[in-house]
Amino acid sequence: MFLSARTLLYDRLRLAISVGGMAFAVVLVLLLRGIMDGTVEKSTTYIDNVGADVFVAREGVKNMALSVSAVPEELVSELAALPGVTQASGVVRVTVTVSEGDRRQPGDLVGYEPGSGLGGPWKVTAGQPPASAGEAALDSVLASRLHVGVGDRVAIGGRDFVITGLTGDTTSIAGKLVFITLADAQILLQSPNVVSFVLLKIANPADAPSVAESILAEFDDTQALTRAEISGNDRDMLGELFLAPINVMSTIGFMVGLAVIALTMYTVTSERLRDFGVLKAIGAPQGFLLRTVMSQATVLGVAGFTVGLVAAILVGPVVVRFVPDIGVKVNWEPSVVTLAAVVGMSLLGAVVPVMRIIRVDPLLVFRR
Amino acid sequence: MSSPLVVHDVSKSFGSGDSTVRAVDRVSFQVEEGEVVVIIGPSGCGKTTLLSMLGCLLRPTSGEISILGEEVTGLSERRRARFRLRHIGFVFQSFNLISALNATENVEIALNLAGVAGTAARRRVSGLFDLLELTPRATMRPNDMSGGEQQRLAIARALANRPDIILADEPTASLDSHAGRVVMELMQSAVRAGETKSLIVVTHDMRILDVANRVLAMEDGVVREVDAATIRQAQANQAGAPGL
Ligand SMILES: Nc1ncnc2c1ncn2[C@@H]1O[C@H](COP(=O)(O)OP(=O)(O)OP(=O)(O)O)[C@@H](O)[C@H]1O
Ligand SMILES: [Mg+2]
Repeated sequence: MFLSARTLLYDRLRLAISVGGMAFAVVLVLLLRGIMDGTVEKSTTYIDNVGADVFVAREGVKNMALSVSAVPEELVSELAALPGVTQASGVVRVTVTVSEGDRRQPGDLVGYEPGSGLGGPWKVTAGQPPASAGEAALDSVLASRLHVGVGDRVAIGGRDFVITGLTGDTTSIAGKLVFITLADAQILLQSPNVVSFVLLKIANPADAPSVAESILAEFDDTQALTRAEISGNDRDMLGELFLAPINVMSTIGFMVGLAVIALTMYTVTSERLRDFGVLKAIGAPQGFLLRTVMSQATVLGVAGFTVGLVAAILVGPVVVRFVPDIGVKVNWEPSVVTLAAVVGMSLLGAVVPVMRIIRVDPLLVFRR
Repeated sequence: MSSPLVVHDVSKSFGSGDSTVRAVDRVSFQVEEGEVVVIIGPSGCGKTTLLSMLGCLLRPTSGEISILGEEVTGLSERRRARFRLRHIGFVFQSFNLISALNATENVEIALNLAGVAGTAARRRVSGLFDLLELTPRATMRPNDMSGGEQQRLAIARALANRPDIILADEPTASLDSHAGRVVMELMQSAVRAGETKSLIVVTHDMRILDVANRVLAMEDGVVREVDAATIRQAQANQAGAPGL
């Protein structure tokens, strides 16, 4: 099909603009979708990395994000005694304000038992995790926003803490994590002997679902979820929040792409209508002419998609560097869906040109 | 062996009622193998309309046209397109080359459409370019070529699939007299070389009569056969340049 290629290459500037326009639409859609996927994935960083296999909460609580849970602290030792449970640890989770002077930032507080080895930070980038009262480890992005480092003092929930360490992988759109001791957290909340969640480590992690089930059966007023369940619940909830704006933007992206392809194909075909008349006169079958136009449109679309996909993959990390709260993950499923949409757009964009070609009168060859 | 082209009682009218134009009026003639036939006549007399019908691009209002023994007026659009591709070569006043393609590709596309590709196609193109003295222009775009070269390229495309008939509408009208002469001689030699069986040329250009075996004069849609020598003489007298 050298005719399609040559016709497209005939005006390289226009080709570049068209492919660029198409790529822009694709980047818009893929990046947005990538931000949704990456951000949602990042939002469960605590659940995914803390090391617990089962999470126990108050009855009816199925999420960690945007939920309020409280269970008696005695539950920790009761659960620790269950068969298969190698470790149990209570944590308090609550949103707080962290401030230093005039600077204020929201934080996602984790009160945990430093001695238990479960519930605290998994990646300490500077200093030490908190070991005793009045000590805190801050997410490193949060610390830099507050212009503080190890050794500085901050107010957490109105109380004074000294920063002993900074943590990594603890930033997400749901909040930036702040670690203090469980006892300090209980004082902040003025609720001693209460924890939000009990984290369990299971001897054989594959047994997590059956352990969770037996807890549900044995303990009233509790909810036990495996890591995969609670992580999935949080991701689903956040994903739903994202879905409406993503769909709106994807629709706009689709329309931009369609307009670019339709306009390009319309101008390319209008300029070359005489060529199509000539080919008809020579005896080219209708199908050949239509295939030429449709393959041009598809080539344009797929080229735009490829450029857009590469751009989205390259731009993603740059976006995250400037906005660490979000993640960008260009997954292959939405990419395939977008490619299919692009091919659909291309064929739709070729409809008007195809109709013009069907109507073109080969007798035009006799005109000057 | 039947005549390559037989036209029997062909008419073509445009419009209806009072505004009907009878562009071609009950025309009959035939063209034999090896013949170059030139159709002359004033503007608007129906030459292009007649040629369009011979080329299976326009259906007559009545009458029959058979090419290589096949009655073509009744064929479906698809069959007519196939028939044009295999049996008819066209040369136009406006060369109608594809400007996005280079010279070689302009001929190759006709070959490809007829199912000839690869080495066979390239060999055919280079043979034609030798014949038409286009070899040095093989990779040039039509827009970078002279009018004469463009028309020779159009002839190469018309000859590509070894058509039985070449139909040319004012092939020299866009060319200067030297280029026009070269183009006509090349078309004539293609007939002599057996690249095509017959050649029908429509023209205003009386210089073309040199190459004609027969001349058909058309007026108000009606065709009559004339003696080429008489026409040339009349033309010469009119121009006031006897002996030219
Ligand atoms: N599609 C059409 N609809 C209506 N009338 C037409 C059509 N095509 C041709 N005609 C008319 O038929 C007549 C013959 O036209 P044609 O183009 O065949 O003349 P011609 O001999 O080729 O003229 P020229 O030498 O100027 O090219 C003219 O009166 C023209 O206006
Ligand atoms: Mg004409």
